[in-house]
Amino acid sequence: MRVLVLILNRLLWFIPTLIGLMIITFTISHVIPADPVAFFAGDNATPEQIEALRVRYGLDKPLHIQLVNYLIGVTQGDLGVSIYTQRPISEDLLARLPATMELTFMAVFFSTIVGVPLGVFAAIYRNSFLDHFLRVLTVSGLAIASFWLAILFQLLFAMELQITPLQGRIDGWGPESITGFFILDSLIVADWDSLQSALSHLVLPTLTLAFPAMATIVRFTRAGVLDAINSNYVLYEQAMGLPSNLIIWKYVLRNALIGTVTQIGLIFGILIAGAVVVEAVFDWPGLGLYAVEAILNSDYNAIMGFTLVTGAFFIIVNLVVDILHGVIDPRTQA
Amino acid sequence: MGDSLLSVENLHVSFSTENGVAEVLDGVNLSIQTGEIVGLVGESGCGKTTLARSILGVLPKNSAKISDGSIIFDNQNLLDMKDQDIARDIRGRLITFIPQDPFSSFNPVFTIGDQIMDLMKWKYSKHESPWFALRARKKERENNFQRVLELLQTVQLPDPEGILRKYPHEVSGGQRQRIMIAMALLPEPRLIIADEPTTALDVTIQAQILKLLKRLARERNVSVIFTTHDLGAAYEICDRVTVMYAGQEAESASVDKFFEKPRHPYTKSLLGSLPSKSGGLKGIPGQIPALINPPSGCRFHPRCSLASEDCITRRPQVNWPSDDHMVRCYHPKIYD
Amino acid sequence: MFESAKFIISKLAKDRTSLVGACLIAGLLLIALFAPLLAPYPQDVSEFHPPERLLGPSMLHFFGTDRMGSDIFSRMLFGARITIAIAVIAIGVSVLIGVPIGLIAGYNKNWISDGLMRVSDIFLAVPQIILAIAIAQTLGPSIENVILALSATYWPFWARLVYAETRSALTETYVEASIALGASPFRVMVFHVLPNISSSIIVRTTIGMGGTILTAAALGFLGLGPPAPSPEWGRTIAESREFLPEAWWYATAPGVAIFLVVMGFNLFGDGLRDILDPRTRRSHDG
Repeated sequence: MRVLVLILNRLLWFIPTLIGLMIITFTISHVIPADPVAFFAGDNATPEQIEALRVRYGLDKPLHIQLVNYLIGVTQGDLGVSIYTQRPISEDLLARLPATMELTFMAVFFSTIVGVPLGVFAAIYRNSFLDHFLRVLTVSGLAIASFWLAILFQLLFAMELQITPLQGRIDGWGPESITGFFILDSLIVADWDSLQSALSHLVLPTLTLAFPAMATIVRFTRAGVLDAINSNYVLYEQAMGLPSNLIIWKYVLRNALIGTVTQIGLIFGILIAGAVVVEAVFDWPGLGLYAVEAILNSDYNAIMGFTLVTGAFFIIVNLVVDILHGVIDPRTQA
Repeated sequence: MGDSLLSVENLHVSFSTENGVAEVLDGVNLSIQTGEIVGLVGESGCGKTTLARSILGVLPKNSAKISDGSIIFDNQNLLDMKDQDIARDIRGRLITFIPQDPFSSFNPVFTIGDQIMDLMKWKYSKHESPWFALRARKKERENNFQRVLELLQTVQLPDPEGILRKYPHEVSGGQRQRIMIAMALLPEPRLIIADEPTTALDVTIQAQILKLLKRLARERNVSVIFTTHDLGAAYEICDRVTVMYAGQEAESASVDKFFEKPRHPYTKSLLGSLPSKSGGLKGIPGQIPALINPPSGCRFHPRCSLASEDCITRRPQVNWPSDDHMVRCYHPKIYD
Repeated sequence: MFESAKFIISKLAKDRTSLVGACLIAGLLLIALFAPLLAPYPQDVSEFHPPERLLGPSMLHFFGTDRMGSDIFSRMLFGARITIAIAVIAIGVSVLIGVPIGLIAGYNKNWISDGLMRVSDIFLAVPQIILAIAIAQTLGPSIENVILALSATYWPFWARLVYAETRSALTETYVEASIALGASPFRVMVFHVLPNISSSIIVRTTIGMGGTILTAAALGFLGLGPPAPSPEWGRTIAESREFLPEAWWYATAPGVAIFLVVMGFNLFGDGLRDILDPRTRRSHDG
């Protein structure tokens, strides 16, 4: 019951935020450009095409009417047509979504599985060699440009050592498309070649994307565990002679992890921001690469659609994380 | 001191801080008999909490150092034992702890029941090896559960079962401290170390908790070391009182003698600073010294009107006169 | 004020990592300032020498030459100017916009402040680079537009930060006292609240420089930054891609440059935060 109240509460924030995002993209695409129509028509349009578009898109109507039309259109899934591919943008984006999601989830998974235990050990063995080494690594991880790291990985692993593929998502056609996630689909239809190819292509992009995310997770987990270790309840547990393994892996970890969960929203922000450039470097056919191509082709509509969809995705992730946090932290139910 | 349950002898503890090394305990002595309730009084920073934590062995590992002395519990020097062994056999079994702030001493993301049952499982079981605790059979778990409920009733908590299901923030301060008392009694300890257990509570609740603690300790013949800066509280429940100043113990006597015939100048000033019926508040001139470069000899000498050459050079030795009223001073007050 | 500045500097000097950071930042500033003097081939910022393209590192060309034959080392030095300019101006503008908005919104408790914070929240709900791409794309690739895009997406961060700090500062007794004594809102905000939150702002500014530089480089990489023949670091990395793996120096130089600069700001900012922000200082148990 209180979970329901929690969800409703968060939705109250979520919907206006989403609408606000739409208003922002509207402003960027309709208000900022000197001539929004020329903007939509692209660099190569003729004056007649521009005029035709002006009427067709209702860009001769007053601004507030345009806004309303825009909002209505977006909620119905109409994000306009790509100048480059001539297809509805929503279709293009939907087709690209699974690739980005698969990459992002792998990155989250990897950075959490590796990052959390490292953070715990860094805290327990504070000021040890491991702790200092991790500190150097995490600071570096947050200072490296993702696109540069991607190129370095390519140079080293794909070009020099030749142990991973250079780019792309898979060799050949890939498995039968059921979910759009190559790994899942390969497993479902038992297509082992596709599975192997998909996995090997995932290695470098995932590593690149996960690097800064892992750095953040290690830092936050370490801080959370240290906080817990220095707390009064750990002192009490120690004073009452509870085994230290119990204290760390049951009591401290739960407290630290609750803090880490809220960071997942932050992590996703890093990942989505990184996805754009990482997909560009690895030729990964996801939303990021779509955005890059749209930039190159001056496909303004597509960029707006991309902004809206990625922004909305990020907002949704934060909503879910918020709700999750409310559910697992008993203190928020006060 | 004969066959005391616990005897702290000449304990020296120092803390390394950013500004230097602080001598927090300067050769402190303390002893307690079975079934005795001893009060450890002193102002903030006098070292009473450090002494309590030293006995338990939970000083901060990186900054605290025990440079000398011994802590004899049940004829064993705890300072000679390995920390693992102390954690397993002594803490939470023979010596238990009641913390100052019951709110932050509970883990906020686990239910109270979770935390108590863990304590039962790991510290109450009669088995030698923790592995047996893990395999506690259903019957034993039920017994444990019953015992917990009984204990919660003993500390006068209504609806013990409901409490077990609650989270720490859902329970009031007084209730939390009662639960802490119950948890301290759970493993059937010989000694409870209560570190300012009522400081964080409302005044009206304080008296209740103190009386409860005293009654239960008496019933079960459990010794209690009770640290406080509240002289009134000490008077309420202690059998004997030891007063500390700036890391040195000054005087130790039975509660009556302590309050009626204090011998140490500091004790006299402390008692004199209590508001009296004749009105007026008398403080003690001067300030508590920093412990990084403390005064030499008796650390109270800068503020003591009776201070002499000896007081500055060498700290007075321990001596136990026949009337069992110990004072470490060159100029104790004599009563006839 | 100067007392505290001296104290801060002496504490910073003791922390080795902050010192390293400070040196890196100082290095960046010096290079940016003296680029024309330090560069062996200052004219290569805009001139080409096709016959000398893609030469490896040598005594003549420390970092080799690029696809147009220009000396990469010289171009990198000038790239430092661009990086500094973008970062400093973008952060400066966003602070100048965001801090007053945060102060006003924090001080007042009406629908205006709610509205301002709502707008900030919406901006903050989306990763900065996503919106920055949209804005930069709309306006066209140039250094000014990058700065604009970054400022427009960064001011809400400061607004939110200052809003929260102002709200909590308002509960401090000294602020309540000055309000009770009749101080005008302006006076309270500028002379009471602002000085106390300034350390927080300074810390975040330093830490934010690193992120801003990375975002700016990413925009340059995507082609949204200053166009050719600008020696902007991100753009250079993008240019280098088609010549890999043979011309490895082409991608390495700008990448290392970005790394060192961002590291410098991160290390220095971390050290600054440890000193200035008492909340993150962990006191030793005593």
